[in-house]
Amino acid sequence: MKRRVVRTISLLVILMGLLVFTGSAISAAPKQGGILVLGKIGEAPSLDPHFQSAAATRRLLDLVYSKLVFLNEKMEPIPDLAEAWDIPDPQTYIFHLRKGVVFHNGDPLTAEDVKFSLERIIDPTANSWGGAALSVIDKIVVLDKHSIKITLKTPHAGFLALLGSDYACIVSEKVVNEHGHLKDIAVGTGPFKLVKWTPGISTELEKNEEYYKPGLPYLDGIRMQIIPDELSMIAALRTKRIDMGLIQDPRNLRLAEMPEVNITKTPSLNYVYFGLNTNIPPLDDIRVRRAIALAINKEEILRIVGWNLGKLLSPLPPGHQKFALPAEDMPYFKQDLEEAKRLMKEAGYENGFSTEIVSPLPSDWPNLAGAAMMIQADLEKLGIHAEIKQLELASYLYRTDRLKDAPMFTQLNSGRADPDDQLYSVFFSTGPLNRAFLADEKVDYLLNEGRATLDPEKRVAIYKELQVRLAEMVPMVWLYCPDLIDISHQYVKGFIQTPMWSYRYLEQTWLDK
Amino acid sequence: MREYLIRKLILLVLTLLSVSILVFVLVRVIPGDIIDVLLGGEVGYFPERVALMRQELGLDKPLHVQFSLWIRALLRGDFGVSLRSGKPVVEELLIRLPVTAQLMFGSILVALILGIPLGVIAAIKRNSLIEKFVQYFGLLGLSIPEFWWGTLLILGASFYAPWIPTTGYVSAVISPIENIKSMFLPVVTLGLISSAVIMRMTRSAMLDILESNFITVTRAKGLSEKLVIFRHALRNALVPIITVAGVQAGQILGGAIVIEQLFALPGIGRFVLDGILGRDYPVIQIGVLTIALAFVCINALTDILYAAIDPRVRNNL
Repeated sequence: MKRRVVRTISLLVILMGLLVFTGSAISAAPKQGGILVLGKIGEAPSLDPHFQSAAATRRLLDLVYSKLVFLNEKMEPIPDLAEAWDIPDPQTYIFHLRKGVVFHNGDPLTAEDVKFSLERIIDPTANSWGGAALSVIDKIVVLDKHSIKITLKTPHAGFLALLGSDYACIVSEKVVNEHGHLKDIAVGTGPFKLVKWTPGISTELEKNEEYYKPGLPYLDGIRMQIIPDELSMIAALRTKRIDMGLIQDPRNLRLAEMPEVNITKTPSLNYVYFGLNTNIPPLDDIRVRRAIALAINKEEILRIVGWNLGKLLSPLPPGHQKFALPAEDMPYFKQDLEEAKRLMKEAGYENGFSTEIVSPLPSDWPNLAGAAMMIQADLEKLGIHAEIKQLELASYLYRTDRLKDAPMFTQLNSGRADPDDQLYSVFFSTGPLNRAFLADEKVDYLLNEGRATLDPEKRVAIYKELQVRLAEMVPMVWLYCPDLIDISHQYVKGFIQTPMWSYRYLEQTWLDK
Repeated sequence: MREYLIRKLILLVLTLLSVSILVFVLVRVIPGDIIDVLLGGEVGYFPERVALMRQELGLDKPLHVQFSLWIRALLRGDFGVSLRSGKPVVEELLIRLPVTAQLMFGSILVALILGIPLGVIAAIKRNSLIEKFVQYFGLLGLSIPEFWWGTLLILGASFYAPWIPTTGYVSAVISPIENIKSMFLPVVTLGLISSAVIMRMTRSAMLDILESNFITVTRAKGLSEKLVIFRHALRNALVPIITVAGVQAGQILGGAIVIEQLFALPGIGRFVLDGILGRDYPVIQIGVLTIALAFVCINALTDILYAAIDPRVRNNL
């Protein structure tokens, strides 16, 4: 009896606490209005979402265009322009569009616009940067004004995630036809309208009053101010000339540490890696590659080069949640010099060899240049003398991506929401980003299985098996995933960064001042 | 005089032509092109895509064909379109030209206004505290790199003078006052460094002249010290000062790349830098041509100023 009383009382206390809590939440309701000034490093070269892959363009268009689905902060495709979808069979998707959506010029969005946009991307003669990924689409049929059927060439478990990617923006067919191109015009259905684009200085966005999410956005507008230098960005934040910005070089973070500034670190799906070209001897010998993996201290690289702002990873970054395996459990992850030396001896390289590490300049990518130096020191312990070749960005990409003749290199791969998208192009034997020239039947088989399997549990099992296989094959040494670092004043509320790096949640951001 | 101008003009055309050939060839010889920048990294390098893009951008033709196409277009006044943005490069250049011009003239003005008087005073008052300061400050100005000095000023201003904008250019057309405010720090950054050089030059030129015989003559004639210094000594010292100022204007143009990056000014320096990093050939070509033209103009202006100041030069033309 007594116990029951105690329980009732404690329940009451909890309930009251909850009431107080919700009460305070209500009192902190978002305030309407205000202009947010956002510091941005790069300038958008042009505005066409389907043909311009520059990050600066994509971060601007996050706010202007919508896609069929949106990849939220957990990397789940959630309804956006499509309010629901059916998958009658693994190769068919029927999307039901949200009704009453209008473009910024007042025209209603129809299924024809969706068909037009996707066909604009997959047109093989048009050279869109999303063309390769979306080439899985076989046919697009408009069923009625608000529904559309997409048939795939093969079953593709990551298809929805592709539709949430940066290139998959839905544009207006009429605007493209009337204007001829989208290089300097952006008429979307997103939360903000583009009103003024001053090259090199700023971009001004205005609230979309007709936005389909009721009550949003809270802000009256956003001004994106271009500040190429991070120190200047921090100085501008300090003097409140900008409300929000980002830091890509963790060395500068210390300067941003001020009581009035929030620093948000979001684990990204991008990852820094040490690439090994399996075509070039002695890296064709798996024992040598394993020895190299064992010689490298990944924790130290994350600590020193990445300033501990990031996560260690298995072949899938921890951001891939249930798919990812803990890095520490992977074969050849923990540094083990004894075993590494044994493997080198077994392979006949007891005395090591001379080789080359290609890396970008510290001014372009400080972490990739720094990682190369730390790896050089680690490899020296096995007698491997690696000369570091630092190259300016275009020359570097020319070596690693066109000539593909660098035996070893440090690189960064940008993250993709779905494990299929993340791994396929990098490790499939004919994949475009397969800089290691890995050609392993089992890897190819598992990649194809992962793509074709729609059952979530089976998929998880496939990708776990694949990750172990990849770690055993050592086409690269996975170093770490750097965090995305947003800096903003305390009065900027409600923003959430996604692991894919998106400014879309500025639609629910408000200024508490 | 006329012959001189014609000679200068021919030289100008020849200089620009050789610069353009050099730039055209050099940017294409260095490894890596726009396609590596656009498709390298995350987009993925599909051979058929590369071929298509080469063709679209006109990079599939042999070098000499590309060059003759470019020169022919140039003679029609067509500088081409940016490979990255698809916009005509002239349009993009014209937006940026005023910013760099303002930065350069502003900095030179600051340098002259500070440098010449301080240099003169240092020369007159030898072994004084002012001379020590000028010598010290001069050495400092010669040794400090712009990027470090600019970063220091930005951080300093954000702490101690938050009302001075450290970033965010405002065009004079929109608001002249805001424009001056936004250009204040960059102009001071470059101007102070150049003023140190001009100050040192002024001091040593003045010292040379003040010790020469004709100054003794003017003093013996009983001219006031003011007249001796300003009418006779400074006027003669101006020739080397102008030379240095001309060189400094060029230096500032070079320093503009760094300063524009630091202070987020949408000028030519940043335009060319982005062009080089992105291997945007038409942008690099027009940008370098403009900078070369500016150099040639500065040199011509220096020559004309010599003539205006020094009758001996004038008569020799």
